[in-house]
Amino acid sequence: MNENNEHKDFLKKNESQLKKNPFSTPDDYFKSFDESLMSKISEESISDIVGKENGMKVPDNYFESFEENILNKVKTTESTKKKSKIRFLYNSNFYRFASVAVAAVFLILILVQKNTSEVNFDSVSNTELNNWVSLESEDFDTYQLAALYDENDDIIEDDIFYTNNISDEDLELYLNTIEIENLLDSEN
Amino acid sequence: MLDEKQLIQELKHSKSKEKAFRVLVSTYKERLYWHIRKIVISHDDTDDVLQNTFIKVFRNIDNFKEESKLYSWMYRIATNESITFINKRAKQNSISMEEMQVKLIENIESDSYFEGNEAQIKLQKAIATLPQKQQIVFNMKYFDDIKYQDMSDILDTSVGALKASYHHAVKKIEEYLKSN
Repeated sequence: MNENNEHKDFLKKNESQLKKNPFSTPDDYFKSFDESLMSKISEESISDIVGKENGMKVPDNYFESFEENILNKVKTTESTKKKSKIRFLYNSNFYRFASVAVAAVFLILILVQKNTSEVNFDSVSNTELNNWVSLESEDFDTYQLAALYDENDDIIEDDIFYTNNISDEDLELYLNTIEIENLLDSEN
Repeated sequence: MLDEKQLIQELKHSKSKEKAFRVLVSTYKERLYWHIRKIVISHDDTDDVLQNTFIKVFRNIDNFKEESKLYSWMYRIATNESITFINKRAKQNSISMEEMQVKLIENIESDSYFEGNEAQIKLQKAIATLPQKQQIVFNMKYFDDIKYQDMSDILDTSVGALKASYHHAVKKIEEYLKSN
């Protein structure tokens, strides 16, 4: 009897707190309830007509042999990947040749452009040309370029050097016009 | 019960990778197969897409950040591979993706690995008329009973948007079935 009274007291004392609903619902539950219910009704209706099976089948033993098949395929593709040698352009000396070629093209373009204005090839002094060559090709000395050729003789066609014949007349003209000081400079 | 964390560690370790991969394939092959099959329809195409999915998993497991569950990640790869497959086929045939979906289902009656009745054929045709995302959501919910939260991880879409997609899908399919 006494115990009963104690319970009543406890309930009365904490009435306001205990009457609060301690349960909650997920966010927007009631907002989306109607839609969910209508979806469920449609789903039931589809299920009544068709059922939950889709009629699709697989060949006999397909899943049993699948692991072996996929592992063989993975191994094959992995070994093919290892075998194929990847040649990175930026690691190859080809890249260096390409940069020299691009620089040469730029030089020609600049010269051609200058030729159309008052500046032409003849107006550029040998000193200016020498300066340009020494500045622009400071990364490559003669020995380095020669070494590049030796390392890449498989990709450089020999006929690049041997088919462009210089006539005797041109050679004579060149030797007659070049300043002897420049020749001596280049020897040093 | 599969210890996913342990399995991932084994998959990322070269010595245990092959053995762990066998476990992974064995655990998920059927679930992923049926997920893909419902999108690409034919068995042969499903086989190709499933193999590509597992090969991608094998090759990219080191990049798996473990921000999602492993199976969610694999489902996502499978879904992307399936959609990519349909897109490629559509381009080869110079038709839209929607037209391709309808085309894939056109020959279902003559597919030797389809034994569905008239109602099931009609249901597949109804699904093929839905936009791609609604199709995937409908298949995952109706046939596989995947929870919206899991679907949200796989498809990277909010639960609310998925519920809306499913609602539109079932309404359209119900109407299609009743009117055809």
